[in-house]
Amino acid sequence: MSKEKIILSEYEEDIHRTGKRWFFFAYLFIILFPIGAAIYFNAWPNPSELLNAAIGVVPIYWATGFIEAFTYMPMLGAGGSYLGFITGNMSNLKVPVAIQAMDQANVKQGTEEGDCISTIAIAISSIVTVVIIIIFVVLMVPLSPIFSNPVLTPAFNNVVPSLFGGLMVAYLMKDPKVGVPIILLGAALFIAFPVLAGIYPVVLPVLAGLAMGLARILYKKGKLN
Amino acid sequence: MGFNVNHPVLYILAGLCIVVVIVQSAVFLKKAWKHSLELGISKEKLKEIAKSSIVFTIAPAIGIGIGIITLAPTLGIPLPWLRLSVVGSIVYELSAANTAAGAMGLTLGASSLTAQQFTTIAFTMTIGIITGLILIPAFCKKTVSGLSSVGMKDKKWGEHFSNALFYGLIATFVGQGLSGVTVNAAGRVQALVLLVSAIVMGLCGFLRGKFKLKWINDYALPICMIVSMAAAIPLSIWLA
Repeated sequence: MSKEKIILSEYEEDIHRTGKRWFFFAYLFIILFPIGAAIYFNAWPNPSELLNAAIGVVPIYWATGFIEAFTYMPMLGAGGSYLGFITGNMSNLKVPVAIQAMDQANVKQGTEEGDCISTIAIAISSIVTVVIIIIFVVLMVPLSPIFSNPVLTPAFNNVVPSLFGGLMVAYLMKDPKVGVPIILLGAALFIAFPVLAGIYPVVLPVLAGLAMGLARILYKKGKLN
Repeated sequence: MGFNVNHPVLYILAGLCIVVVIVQSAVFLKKAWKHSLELGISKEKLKEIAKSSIVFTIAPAIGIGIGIITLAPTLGIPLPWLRLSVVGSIVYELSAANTAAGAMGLTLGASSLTAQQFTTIAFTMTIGIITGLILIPAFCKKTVSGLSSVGMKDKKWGEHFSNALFYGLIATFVGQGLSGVTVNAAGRVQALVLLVSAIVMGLCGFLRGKFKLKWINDYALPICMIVSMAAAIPLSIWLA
């Protein structure tokens, strides 16, 4: 990357400033839950049990968090990242909704317009998600038998493939010379080694890196439009 | 009042956090909306985007709601409500809770939790998500401006670069969807759901082109999701 200084617009500077502020504020409330519960019930975790539990969680989830942060930030832009990473459900909701919205508005990732549209899509998606979840919480008792009905279970166990099948076809024609080989490679890898499904965050940057490398080679050769 | 996983204090703690997140979303929405208008994006376009984002969100959000139903019998409602509304996702939360329970020699769902077991699980879930929360404020400006500079210098390459990044994501989740095809019936159902969704998207594209149905563009993904999720029901019965 070049060393020349990138000058951000007033809006971009404001989003970074506000984003950081809200990020820390929201994080305070996130850690308030376990701390508040421990204080109120006078029930602090046993340190050795907590350490054992943390050892089980930290290696995978910190690595995943690291990979997701650096993969999704460039896709979502500043506003979308500050908001998306706080509201969660990134790969199954926030990233696809932002990409779809940028596509619909015909704006590009990495531009100020793209950043605005991604932020709008993620903000709306976050609010709608919270509202739907509140409805679920309020109606938990009457809804429980419907949604825990074993007949319906397969439908809701398959939200992610139902999303990515459509996305694949919708975006394949953008750069098919890059998309087709990378998707075929992904399919072959996971079919040959089903165990990868459990550690997909490790595979994601590898495939993204290969896709970028292939795109760069084809672009340099003038084979991408 | 003694401890239980649905104690009112837990609802208050979770509710406070969720209010913060809603206000944060509203603040960002207002800023981005205003600036989009300044950049010349029409109000109508923004409304269209808002509408399709709402429609797009419904099916995954119901999936998240069902995640709460899944976790509620053991962890109560407030903790899963918080964790699935803020930062988390069902796969992460379920396995983090299971890992924490395992470290205490418990099996989730086998018995009701004591206050100490509950806070251990809540702390474990929180420790697991720290990385993203530290990295975003620390590196977002550099990372995002870096991409902007790629795009600014060579707009065409910036576009291909973004597409390639997204292909990496699609290839990973398409691969994951196909990973169980040789493993078991559920894996084959998952693969067929992926296929049905892809076919429905192809059909939407065909209808849009053939009958000039432009509106299909905005709703194609939600349509794919609903049809393919519904298809999972007969497919599971058939492949069981």
